[in-house]
Amino acid sequence: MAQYVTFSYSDNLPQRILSQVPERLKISGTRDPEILLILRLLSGNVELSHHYSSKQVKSRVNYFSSDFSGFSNWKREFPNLLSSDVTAEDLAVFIENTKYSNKAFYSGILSEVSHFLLHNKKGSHTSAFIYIYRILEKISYAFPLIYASKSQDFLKSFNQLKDLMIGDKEKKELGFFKVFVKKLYEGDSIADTSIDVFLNTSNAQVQEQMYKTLKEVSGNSILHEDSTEFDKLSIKYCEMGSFLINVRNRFFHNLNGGSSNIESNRIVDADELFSFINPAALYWISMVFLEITTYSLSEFQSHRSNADV
Amino acid sequence: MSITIFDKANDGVINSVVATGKTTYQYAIDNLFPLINRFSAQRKSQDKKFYARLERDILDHCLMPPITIAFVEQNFEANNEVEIAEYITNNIQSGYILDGIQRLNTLSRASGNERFDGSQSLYINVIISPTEDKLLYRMITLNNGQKPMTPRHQIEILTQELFDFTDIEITIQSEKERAENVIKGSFDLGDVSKAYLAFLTGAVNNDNNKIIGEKMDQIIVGRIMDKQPSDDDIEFKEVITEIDRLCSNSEVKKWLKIGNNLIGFSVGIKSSHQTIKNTNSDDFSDAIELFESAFKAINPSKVNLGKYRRELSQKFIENYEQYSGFDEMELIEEFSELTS
Repeated sequence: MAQYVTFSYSDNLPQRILSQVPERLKISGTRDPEILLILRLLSGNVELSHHYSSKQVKSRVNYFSSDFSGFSNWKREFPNLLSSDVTAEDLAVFIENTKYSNKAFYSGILSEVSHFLLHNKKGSHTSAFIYIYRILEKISYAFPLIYASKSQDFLKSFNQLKDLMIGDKEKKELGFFKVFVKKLYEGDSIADTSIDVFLNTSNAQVQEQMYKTLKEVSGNSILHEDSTEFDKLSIKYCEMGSFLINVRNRFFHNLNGGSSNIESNRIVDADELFSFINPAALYWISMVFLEITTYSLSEFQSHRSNADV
Repeated sequence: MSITIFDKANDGVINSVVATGKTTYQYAIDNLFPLINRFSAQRKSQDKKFYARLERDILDHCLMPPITIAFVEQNFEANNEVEIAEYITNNIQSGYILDGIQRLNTLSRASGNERFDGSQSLYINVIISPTEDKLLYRMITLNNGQKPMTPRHQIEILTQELFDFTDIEITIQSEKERAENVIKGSFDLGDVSKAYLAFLTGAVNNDNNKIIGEKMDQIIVGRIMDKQPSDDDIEFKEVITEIDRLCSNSEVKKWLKIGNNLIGFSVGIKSSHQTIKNTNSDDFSDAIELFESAFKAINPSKVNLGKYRRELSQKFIENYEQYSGFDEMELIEEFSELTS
């Protein structure tokens, strides 16, 4: 039996800009490469329909920018994020040639992103966070492969991987994330920046409680000096993964004993709290995803040019 | 003469004379206010309403916090306060307002009111610095907290206004000038600005499309502050002089006109100034030919093209003495080591 089609997608770029975009980067609605859908969804210009509920969701937020401002010309500005020398045509060639590789991986991420956008639209931010966490776990599946190929010293990276893989569960996830993200952003100035969670509450006391709760959960070592009490919690760029894992563990597990949990009464409204965390979290994940794409693009191009010779 | 200097001291970090003194509101309007228009890219004066309160206070004889003005004078020598005051009065038209642009604007607006009293005192800080680089370092350390004028903006202004490119052979054109009249073979001022930024930070990668401007500025400020100027450092003027000299060879000129090469060169030369100085332009041309053939051989993907060009040209210039003596294979080996 064929699987029920949960989402379908259509292009939502302004006509003026869409007409300049290479054919292969447009969303046709049939057999679009998953990686393209993900990149376009996250940059805020695809419309998705959830068939079961007959809901239409327009992705409007550009998660590739820390201030979420949209692209004024997607074709020109998006490829610049990959690298200053990459054009939309280069991206089109890459997507066309790699659309069958890692299909299962990308289609998993695509469905999580779609579900996130659906729940975000409904205002169910606590549920939406679950999909963010699921994307994080999905992406982490690709981490070891990239980590190994980015490391110069295979012997050392093997041992590091082995250590991380056989540690206890908690250490495995957290520890590996840290090492991986640091490796991914080695020498990149973005690693010195922060991810900012803005607590835009209407009540000052609630704001203070939320701030303090999140701060307790995350611990001082992952806070960036940009934080301002109590409206902006800045997290060191490379520590964002640890932050998300902590929030998930302390809120959704609620185990007795051991580390303290997030008390639901203290944060007053979970949907509101997650509405502050989610954009920052998805921004960070989008950037990691972008970095992975940049890396695959670079690999693709150098294989290609080596084959030319 | 209506500037009085009370005291002077030396800033050991930027080797500058720093003095404090006093003048009057009227003198500031006549002599300091015109200076704020000296930068062609001067940031706009901010909304009047932010300063309406100050305007009213000025009329009520308030005393504003000191205004900072700066001068660049290579061999400044003054033994006492009176001489410094004389120097300032004589050279006031070549001064720069480092801090207090908005206050001077408000002052000038207030002076239109009949209640305005021009004899009220205004305290001033004066910095007389031997070089532009050092002044910029202090300017950024001072203005860091200020939002409207970003460090990048300050650097653009400085390359445009403080550096005098008239006594060099090569021409440098801004985007605006290029629109009016293209001088063939001229350098792009934007590239020179970027090279200057790279020179100041000691880093070739100061552009990152993934980071929004505000955060990038924070990073750049941090890098500039880490790179405190020292006495044996060369100045950017000397870098330009070297570029100018080497450009007598047309191949070299073509190579340096590529923004990424210019950036790499400007950072690399910090460690190899003496060697480069003693290299004639034809030998240098041979060396960059070697560089290009090795660069082709490492075959970078487009993703890394610009990045590698900046990084490798920096390394190449840094180790010029050694690398220019390599044969192609040795250099390829070195490059693939650096890029792996």
